[in-house]
Amino acid sequence: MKWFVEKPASVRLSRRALLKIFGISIAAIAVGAYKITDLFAHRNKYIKMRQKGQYKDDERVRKVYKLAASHQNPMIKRFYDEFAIQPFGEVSEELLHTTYFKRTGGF
Amino acid sequence: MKEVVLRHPLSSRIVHFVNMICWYGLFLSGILVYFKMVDNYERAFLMKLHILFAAILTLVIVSYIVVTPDRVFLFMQEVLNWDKDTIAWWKNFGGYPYKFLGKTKIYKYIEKFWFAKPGCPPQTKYNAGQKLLGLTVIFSLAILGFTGWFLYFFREALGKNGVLLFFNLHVWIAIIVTLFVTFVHIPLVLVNWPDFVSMFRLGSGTVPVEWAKEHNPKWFEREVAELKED
Amino acid sequence: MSLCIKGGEGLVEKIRTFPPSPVNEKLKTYRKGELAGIVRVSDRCVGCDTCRTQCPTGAMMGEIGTRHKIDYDRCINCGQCLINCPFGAIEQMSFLDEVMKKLEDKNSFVVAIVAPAVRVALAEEFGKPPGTLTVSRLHLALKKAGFHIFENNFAADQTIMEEGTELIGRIAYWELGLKEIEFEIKDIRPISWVKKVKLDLKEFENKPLPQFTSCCPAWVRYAEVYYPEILPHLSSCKSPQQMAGPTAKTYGALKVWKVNPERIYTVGIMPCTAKIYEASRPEFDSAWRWLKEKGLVTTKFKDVDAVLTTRDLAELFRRKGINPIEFSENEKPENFEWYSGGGTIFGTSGGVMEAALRFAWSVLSGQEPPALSEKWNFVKVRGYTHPRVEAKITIPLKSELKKEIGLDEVTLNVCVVNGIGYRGLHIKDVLEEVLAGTSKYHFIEVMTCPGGCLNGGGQPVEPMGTSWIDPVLPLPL
Repeated sequence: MKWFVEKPASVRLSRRALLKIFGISIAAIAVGAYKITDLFAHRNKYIKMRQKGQYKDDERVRKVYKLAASHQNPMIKRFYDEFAIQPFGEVSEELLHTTYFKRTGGF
Repeated sequence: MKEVVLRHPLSSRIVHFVNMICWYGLFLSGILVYFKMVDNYERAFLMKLHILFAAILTLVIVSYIVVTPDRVFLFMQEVLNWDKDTIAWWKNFGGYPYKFLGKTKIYKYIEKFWFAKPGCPPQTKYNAGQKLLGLTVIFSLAILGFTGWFLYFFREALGKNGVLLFFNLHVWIAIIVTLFVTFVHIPLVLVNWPDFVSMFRLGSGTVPVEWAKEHNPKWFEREVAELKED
Repeated sequence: MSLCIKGGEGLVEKIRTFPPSPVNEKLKTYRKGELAGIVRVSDRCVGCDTCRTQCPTGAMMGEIGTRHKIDYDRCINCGQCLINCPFGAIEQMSFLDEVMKKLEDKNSFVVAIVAPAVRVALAEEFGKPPGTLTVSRLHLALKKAGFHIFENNFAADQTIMEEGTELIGRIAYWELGLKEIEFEIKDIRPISWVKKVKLDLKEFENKPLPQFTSCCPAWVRYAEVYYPEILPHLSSCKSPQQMAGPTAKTYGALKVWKVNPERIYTVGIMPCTAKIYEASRPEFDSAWRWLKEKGLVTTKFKDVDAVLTTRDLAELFRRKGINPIEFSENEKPENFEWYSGGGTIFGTSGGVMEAALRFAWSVLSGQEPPALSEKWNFVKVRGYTHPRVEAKITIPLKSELKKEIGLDEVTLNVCVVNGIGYRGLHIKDVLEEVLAGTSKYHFIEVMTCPGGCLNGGGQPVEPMGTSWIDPVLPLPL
C-alpha cells in the first residue's frame, strides 16, 4: 500500500494566512471584550442617573426655598406648633412610633 | 497497488467526535428545556447535563487549541482561503444540483438556471461548501460558548437587555446551526462516503488517492507528499 | 437592539399586575391581615436564574432551567427579582383598580402620598431619561387625576425630626450616661423659630446603640424574620409612609383640609413593593385608634388604604390620558407639598443618614449656615453604588450643651448599608458585630435595594441596567 500524508505545517502555513487568522481572532476578542466591559461598566448607570436627579432636587429645594434640613420645613414647624408639640411627645408616640414583632419561620 | 492519503489525523477526529456528541447532547437538552417539553425536575437535571456537556466541549476545544495549535491554524487557514475557484464553486454549488437532478425529468426545466450547470472547479482540502460550514462552526462555537458561559457566571451583572440578547443569541444560533448541520452537512457527507469513513472508522483517517484527486485536486497536488510504501 | 440608556426602550416586557388576593398556602411569618405574595413568578419564567442572584434572602427557589418559585415565608417583598427579570415574568399585586374607583367616588377625599424616589423615575415611563425631575408637574398631574397631595418628603422630614431626636436620646443615654436631656431645635430663617425638646431618657433603656433606620419596610421584615434579636436596635419611628398616613388622617383632616377623617382615602405612591405589605400590617391603624379615643370616628380604617407603585401610577396616568411631562415645573408648594432637601434625598442610599446628620449637626452645634452652604453636605455618607459606606462624623457642641454634657464635641460612627445584597452579603457582618456587642457604630442606615429606593421594586424597569453593584467577580454561584 502506498501512503501519502500532508506536508508539515511549517511548509503549508503561509505568513499571510497566519496574520489574517491572528488579525481576525484579535479583532473579534477585542470587540467582544470592549462590548462586555462596556455592558458591565454601565450596568448601574440608571441608578447613578436617578441618584443625580435626587441630589438635583435637593439642590433645587435648597436654592429656591432655602430648605436644607428637615427642621427648616415651614410645614414641619406648623405641624409641631399646632399639633404634635415636640418630637417624642405624646402625639408623636401614638401616631409616629411603632413596635416590631418577632417572626420565626424556622430558618 | 492501493494508494491512500491521510485526510483526518487522530487529534482532529477525536475533536470532531466529541464535538458531535456534545453538540447534539447540548442541543437536545437545550431544546427540551427551552420549549418546556418536560417537567420542572427533569428540566433541572437536563440543565445540569447541558452544563456538563458544555464543560466537556469547552475543555476539549481549548486543549485542541493548546495541544495542536498547528492543526487549528491549518484549519482556519483552509476555511478562510477563498480564491476564484471557491467563488466559482458557489456558482453551481460544485455541480451537486446537476449530480442529483441531472438524470431526472425536472432537469430540463431547470437546466437554464445558473445553479444547475455541470462541472466542479478544482478545490483545496475542503470545498467551498465545507469552508462555509467550517466558518459557521467556528463562529457559532465561539458565540455559543461565550454567551452560554457568560449567562452562567455573570448573569447578575449583564443587565436585562444583556441577558436577553445573550439568551436569544444562544438559543437561536444553536437552533439554526444545528438545522444546517443536520440537514445539509450530514446528508452531503453521507453522499461522499469515503470522507465519512475516514472520519469515523476505527483505523487511520485515510481516503483513497483517486477520490482525493477527484474531489480535492489542489490539495493533493500542492500539500501532500508520499510517506512510505508497504 | 439598543443597549444604550433610553427611557423605557428595550426588549423587556411590561410588568404585569394582578389584583390583591390571598395566598393559598400556610404561612408562618405573616400575621392575620397581612398581605403575602406581593410579587409572584408567572409561568412565563424561562429559568434564566437572574432573579435568584438578586434575592437578598434566598426566598427565590429554583435552578437554572426550571420555573422559579418564591418562598413567601422567606420573602421580604423587596421586588428586586421583579425589576431584574429580563423576561418580565414576575408579576406585582396592584391596587390600581381600587384606587381608580375611589377617584371616581365624589365622597372620598383621595390623598396621594408621593415618595421621594417617584419623582426621579416616573418620567422614564413617558419617554424621558432616568433622573428627569418631575416635582410640581407630578403634583399638577396628580391633582388633575383627582388626588390631593401629601408629600412623602414632608413625612420624611417628620421622620428625621423623630429619628434624629431618638438618635440624640440614645447617644445621650448610652454614650454620655445622662438621665435626661434638654435641647433646642431652632431655625433662624425666615423668622426665628425655636422648639424646646425635653427627653426623659428612662425609656431609652430598651433602645440600645447602634440605632438602625426603620424606613425600609423590607429591611424591617428582614430583621423581624432573620434577626429578631436586633429589633431593639431598630428606630421606633415608623417609616415615612406610615407617618404620612396618620398625619393626613388626623392633623391633615382636622386642621389643614378640614374634612371628615373617615372620608380620607390615603394612597401611598411608592417606588416599592414592600410598602404594599407594610400598609397591610395590622398595627398600622393608629389614626383610627387616636381619633376613636377622641370620639371623632367609628368605622375602622387603616393608616394607608392603598399603595400604588411608580409603574401603577404611570398606568393610572395613561388610563386617564394625562401626561405629567406636559405640566409646569414652577408651582409654589402649599401645605403638605413643602419639603426640605433632607427629605427628598431619602430616596437614595445614604440619604436618610445625611438628612439625620444635617438635623443632628445643626441641633447639636447650633449652627445655621445658608441653605446652599457646603456644610449641609455630608458627601462621605452617600451610598452611590458602593455596597457599604462607613464614616466618622465629628460634631462640635454648642456652648449650652458643652456645659450640660461636659464635652467639646461628639464623634459619630455611621454606616450605610447600600442594599442587603445577595443572601445578606452587605449586611451580615454588620449585624453579627452588633449582636456580639462589638459594633463601633452609632447609627446604621439600611436600604434593601442597591442604590436606595430609587432602584426599588416598584420603579420603572430600566431594560439596560441591573441592580448588581458588587464586583463582577467573585461569583456567588
